[in-house]
Amino acid sequence: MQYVYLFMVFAGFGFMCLSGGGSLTQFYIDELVIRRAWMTLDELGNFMAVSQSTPGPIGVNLATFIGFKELGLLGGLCATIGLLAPSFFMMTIVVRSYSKWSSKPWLKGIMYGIKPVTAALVFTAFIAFLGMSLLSGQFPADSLAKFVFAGGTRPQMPSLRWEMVPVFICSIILLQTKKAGIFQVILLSAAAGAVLEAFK
Amino acid sequence: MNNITTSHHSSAGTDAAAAECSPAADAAGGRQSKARICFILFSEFFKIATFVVGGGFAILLVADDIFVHKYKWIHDGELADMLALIQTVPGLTAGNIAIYIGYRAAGAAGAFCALCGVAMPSFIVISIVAMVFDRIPVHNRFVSGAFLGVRTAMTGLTALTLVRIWKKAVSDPLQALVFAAGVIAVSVFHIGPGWLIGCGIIFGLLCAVLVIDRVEKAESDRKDG
Repeated sequence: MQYVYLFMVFAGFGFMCLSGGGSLTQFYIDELVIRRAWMTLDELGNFMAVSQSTPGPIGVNLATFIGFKELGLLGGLCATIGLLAPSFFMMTIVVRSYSKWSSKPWLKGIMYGIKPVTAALVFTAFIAFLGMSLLSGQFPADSLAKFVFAGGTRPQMPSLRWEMVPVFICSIILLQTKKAGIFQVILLSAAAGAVLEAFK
Repeated sequence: MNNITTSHHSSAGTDAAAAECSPAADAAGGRQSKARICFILFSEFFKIATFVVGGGFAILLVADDIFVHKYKWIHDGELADMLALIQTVPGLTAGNIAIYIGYRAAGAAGAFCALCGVAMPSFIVISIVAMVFDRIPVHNRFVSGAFLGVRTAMTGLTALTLVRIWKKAVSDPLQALVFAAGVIAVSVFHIGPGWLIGCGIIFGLLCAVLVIDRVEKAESDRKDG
């Protein structure tokens, strides 16, 4: 029964995974960390780093990883199949009828509406990731908004981990200029993190 | 992207394209059985997923090279034209590429085999990694420092992802407004991402009815860019 449940959860992710795996991060945070509390945000970040640096598509890696951590080998299988099943059915249907649909205004409209929403999800995932790397805790957007508009107590602001700022900037530069692949960048920043810990 | 090719493909239709460039009508003249094609799809995608690190786009480039030049199962430039479709249909980019090529080569069975090929290496490697992962002493301060460094790199990657999709995702002020509303909805009001996607679809459909000129312009700008 748990396996069916895991399958359904990941089938939901597969269904919601629009414009690539990048937009899924906010779904994982919302569903796996906040709602179901299967893992902490830090753990999710660690899993994502492992999924990025091992061969294979990142989304499949992460699904297998999370499924395996929850319910072992069979759990990994259920999560992976769950993630890929919706796209298998939808993609085969769409390939058949794409030529009929491609110039329809409703399809363009959907694209037009979905893209900024996807960007918003990537942005909120970025904010959540800031809270587990550069900042000492999550940015309290909700309680801050409450404080500004409805009064109440001023929320505690997370402090900046200054020592991680160069690591952040260097990883962006290396990735953007394609001087190093994601695997090398992850190894380098792991080494930098361990070395910085020694000087604390 | 080549607009002329795009319109050609959409007008000619996938069926016609499939007929003139299917594995059965190979340039070499040799007919291949469906089982053989399925096996090739599985093994080629298995190899691609094993050796190509770097996500969907890297896989797209390698798959394009293999299936256009080596097997001639799809046209040159076909994948680039279909990129919008591959990214629009829900699912991982890598999975959708496998399904598309597999379907074009050998129908639903081909799509299934290609998809299995893409997922199999991850499944094997990650299962092994996940078994070992628990033994890592996460509470050691150097190990946790290393993981902090890794998560910082992940944050950088997410920022970069946002920058890369930004130009295509937010190309007019109305979309910028939707972006801002989406960020506030998730971070302040804790709206689930699924609801947000749903709202995006409804908003897009409304735009298609009310301000279709704006939509057409934004979508055609995207193709040129």
